[in-house]
Amino acid sequence: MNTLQLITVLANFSAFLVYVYLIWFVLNLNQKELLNRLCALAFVPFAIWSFAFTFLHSSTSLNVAKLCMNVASIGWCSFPVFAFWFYSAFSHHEKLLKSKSFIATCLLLAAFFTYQQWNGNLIVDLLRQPYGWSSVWAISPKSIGFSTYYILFVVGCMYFALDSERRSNRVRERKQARIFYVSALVSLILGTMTDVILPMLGVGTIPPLADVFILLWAVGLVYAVKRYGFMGLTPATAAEDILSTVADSLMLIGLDGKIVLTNRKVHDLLGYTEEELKGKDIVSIVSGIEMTTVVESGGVYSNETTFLTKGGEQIPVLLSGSVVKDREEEVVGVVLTALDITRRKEMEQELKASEEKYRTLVDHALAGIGIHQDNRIVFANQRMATMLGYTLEELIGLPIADLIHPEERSAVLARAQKRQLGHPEPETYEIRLLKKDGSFFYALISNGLIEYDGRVATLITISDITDTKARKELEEANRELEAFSYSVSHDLRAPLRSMDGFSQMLLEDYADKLDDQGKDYLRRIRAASQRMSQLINDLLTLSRISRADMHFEELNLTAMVEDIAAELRQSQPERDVKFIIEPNVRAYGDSHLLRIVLENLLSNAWKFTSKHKSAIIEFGVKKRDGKTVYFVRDDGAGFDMAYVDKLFVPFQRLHEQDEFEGTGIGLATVQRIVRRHGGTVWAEGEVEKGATFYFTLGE
Amino acid sequence: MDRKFVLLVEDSPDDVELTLRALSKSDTTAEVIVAHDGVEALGFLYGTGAYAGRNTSVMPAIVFLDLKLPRINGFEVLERIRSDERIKLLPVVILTSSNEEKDLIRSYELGANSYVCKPVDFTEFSNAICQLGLYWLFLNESPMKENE
Repeated sequence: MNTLQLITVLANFSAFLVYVYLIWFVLNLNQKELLNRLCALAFVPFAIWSFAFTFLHSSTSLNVAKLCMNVASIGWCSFPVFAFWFYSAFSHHEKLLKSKSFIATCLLLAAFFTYQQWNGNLIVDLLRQPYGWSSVWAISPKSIGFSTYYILFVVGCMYFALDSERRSNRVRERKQARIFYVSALVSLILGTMTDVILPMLGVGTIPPLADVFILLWAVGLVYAVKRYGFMGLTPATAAEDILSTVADSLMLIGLDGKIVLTNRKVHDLLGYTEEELKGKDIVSIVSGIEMTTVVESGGVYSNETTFLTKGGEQIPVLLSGSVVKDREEEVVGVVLTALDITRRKEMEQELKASEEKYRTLVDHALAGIGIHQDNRIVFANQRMATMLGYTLEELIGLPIADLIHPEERSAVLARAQKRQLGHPEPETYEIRLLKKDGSFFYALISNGLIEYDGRVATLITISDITDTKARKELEEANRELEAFSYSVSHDLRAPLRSMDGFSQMLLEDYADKLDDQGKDYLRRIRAASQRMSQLINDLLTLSRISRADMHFEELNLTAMVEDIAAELRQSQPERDVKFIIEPNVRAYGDSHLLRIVLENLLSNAWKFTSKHKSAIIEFGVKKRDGKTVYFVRDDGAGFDMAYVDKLFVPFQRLHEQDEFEGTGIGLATVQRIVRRHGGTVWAEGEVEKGATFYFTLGE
Repeated sequence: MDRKFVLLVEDSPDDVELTLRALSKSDTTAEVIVAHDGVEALGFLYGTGAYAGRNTSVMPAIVFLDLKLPRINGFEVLERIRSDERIKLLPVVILTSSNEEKDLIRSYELGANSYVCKPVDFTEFSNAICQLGLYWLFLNESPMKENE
């Protein structure tokens, strides 16, 4: 065996060994991945080929050489197919591989040409050369067919590689495709030259080393796979990916506290390069870290600390660590992740500042501010406590009912409850608030719904309006009105008494000196002064009603009406009047004032039915537009609806004095009381058919 | 000296006239001393001013006191009477035009023995005064006697 032959043989054999190694290596990278399997499969023909060529070139007998060439043909006839499969899978044309007919065609083609070679139809002879054997190719349709098959599949591979390089938007995949393309092209051109073209041209002096050249391709493939991985997510590539792309800073630290690995985020954050960091002691970067603490924490270590950058700047970070163990479950290092919390720290600071601002605002507000939930005070500022005469401690937890003037309590509580249920209720209104010592003051209260402790609550703001200008003016006006009424009550009546008294004296003492007309005049003076007195009384009543304090409570109107009806009957027992009173009519209002309303309406009905022989007076309640409407109806004199507007005007009368007595103040009084209850009053009537008076009370 | 008499504190001459007339109708021949304002009333009771030298051991059986008076009003007069050891037991009837509830309550608070609102109707007025005169002068036992 000469030197040249030995080189050829050794080259082939080493190529075989490399192929076997590459198959093992690729499968070992990731056995389950289709691409790895196909890659390994593509190497198998080359391994067979180079193994057979080792013996081919070392054999001396033509027959042995031919047998070796036939064995090698299993490799060189099938590799285009397997390579094509690999390239189609790599370039996302897996669909081809799913087609059974395609697979079968490929395998049949490979088998067909192998069969042709075994029958001596492709390489027809082998010539003894100094390096071993050179091939003599048949020039026949079958050999041309083989060339076509071979070229088609190889071009197909190249096309897929190019296509993939062009189309993929992943850098890694594009780089891989480029390697696949270039390595294949170089090795195939060289291999085709030495093994096919030169022999076909009759040049046998160059050794056929296609299988060796193809090694370039194989190594290219493996390098690409190893360097860039395949699309399939392998833990190794994933780890690398994660390491480079996570938003957190990530560092791998050895047990000695030296930095082993860092990701880009760390470099960005600290201003160091990867090289500068490698081997650096972690303590010089993370203040106050102790490796033993991290390791002893076992799995989870978390701590707020600061990073020291290259520029000497301190960055607040949230550091978490976990230990890394080897296969023997022994701790070999620590992974530290750091989250830059500069922004969070700033926000915390801002929040604290903002919270402090509002707290100061609430604490120093001139208004009382508080929150109530489930009818109890759950929060209050000092001002509110001071206004109500409690200490803050006493106020928190106090039922709000204790803070409201008893006369308004039920109405206010009902309103608060409705508001919390989502009904639209007035937000701001005047209220009398009760202090701890039992005294009360006028306040303006504003209510707003908020969420407190995850549930609905009411935020209240209270300002003391006892001393506000408007209230003072109102009180002043009230005082003046009171003084006026007082003076009316005293001074207007006294002259009337004189008029009446002296007229009477004249009638008594000077009766003989007066004729009938004179006496009649005196009687008229007396009647007028008495009527004036009645007017004054009614006027005072009206004014008193406007000022009277209201005491709201549940009332039984039916009982009141029955009472009044009995009184009316007693006053004129001879009259034939039938009362129809609806049982159990209830209302919420001031009992004294509502009694005045009913007295006025019923005595009106009584009065205006007096000219009829018999009468029916009715009292009841009905619903109109969802509102409760009370009514008093009679079948008496009635009135002309044209004058309905004048009914409620004080001193306005629709009947003449000697027809029906009255001062014209009753209905005005009724209207004022009803309005003070938040309701309205109106009337319907017809002359000689009766009248109906309706009224509502605020809900 | 033993005769019972009335102290009428009233600023309106008309009302004085009407009251006197009503009393004269009631068959009581009781004397009526009229004071036209609070100062005069107190002067009579203490024996000062126009009444200086009056025998203050002689006291009226009843004081008819109007509330609205010039200078010192009825409430003040009542207050002074009730705060003075010598005359605090003197029966005082408030006789006024006012039917204001607060006047009524204040009068009783200050220790009035009775409160009568003067009716405008003279007939009613007469009746009221007659009854008052009869009651306070003849029916009622005055504690002031013991002082005499």
